[in-house]
Amino acid sequence: MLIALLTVYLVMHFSSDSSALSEPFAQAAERIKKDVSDDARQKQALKIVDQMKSGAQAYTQKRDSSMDILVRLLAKRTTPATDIEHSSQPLIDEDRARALKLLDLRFELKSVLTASEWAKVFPVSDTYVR
Amino acid sequence: MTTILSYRSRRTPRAVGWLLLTLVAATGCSSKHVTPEQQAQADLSACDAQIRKVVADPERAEQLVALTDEFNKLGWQSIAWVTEYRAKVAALNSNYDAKREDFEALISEQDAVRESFLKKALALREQMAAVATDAEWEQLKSARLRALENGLQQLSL
Repeated sequence: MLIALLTVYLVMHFSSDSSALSEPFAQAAERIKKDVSDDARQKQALKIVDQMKSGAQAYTQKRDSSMDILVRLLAKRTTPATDIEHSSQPLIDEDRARALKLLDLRFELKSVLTASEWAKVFPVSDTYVR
Repeated sequence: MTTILSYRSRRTPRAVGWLLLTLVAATGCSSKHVTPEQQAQADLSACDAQIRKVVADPERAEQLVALTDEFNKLGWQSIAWVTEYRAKVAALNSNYDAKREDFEALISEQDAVRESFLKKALALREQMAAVATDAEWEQLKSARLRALENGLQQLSL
């Protein structure tokens, strides 16, 4: 019952740590190209943003394959909640690990940019509102 | 019946407003006559009708309708929470001098709330499973709350 809904509900929660940290970097590359004039630092910053993006793709693929098992469990009416929780744990752990990795990269990026460049690349007005 | 969005946090009206605007585009419900709230309510009504059609026993049907309504509310509450969490992360990220510990504290808070949401969702699923038969469960696989699904999908990676 409501399998599609339950599935997207779980997927949203299983990526909530890392998706929140990925979101501010979506437009970062364009702004770095525009606002970081020093070529060497611009290149370094873009490389870090690339690492953020490539990590996200690998993470999504891995998560989707783990979700297949979970969808099969959700489809069966008699699956106990404990089995679903057990299968969910690796996805939650991966999300947190991915969020912490993004945090490492965020601070790496910060070490490359000046405070005024940071303010242009991540303006307060961008504060995420969907 | 509780209105679809009656759950929503009073602290995040702007976030939820933007979300609903996005949903209008995502669900293709751009008619001048259908608001996003009305669309979400229509989804829920259609789902409730499908439950009543599939589950012949009125008592069990009403139990499933109530549980579905509760799950619907939980879904929208989750969207409001995650939207607010994202706003907090973005605001912190904009601060050049933000400390790693500040981010980690936010993530830990989010993890605790997520755990609570997941426990509630799985408890509701278990109650739904207890009320339905195998055949009904199978027939209700196709039941959809599309506006809610779209909202959840947009917050996924």
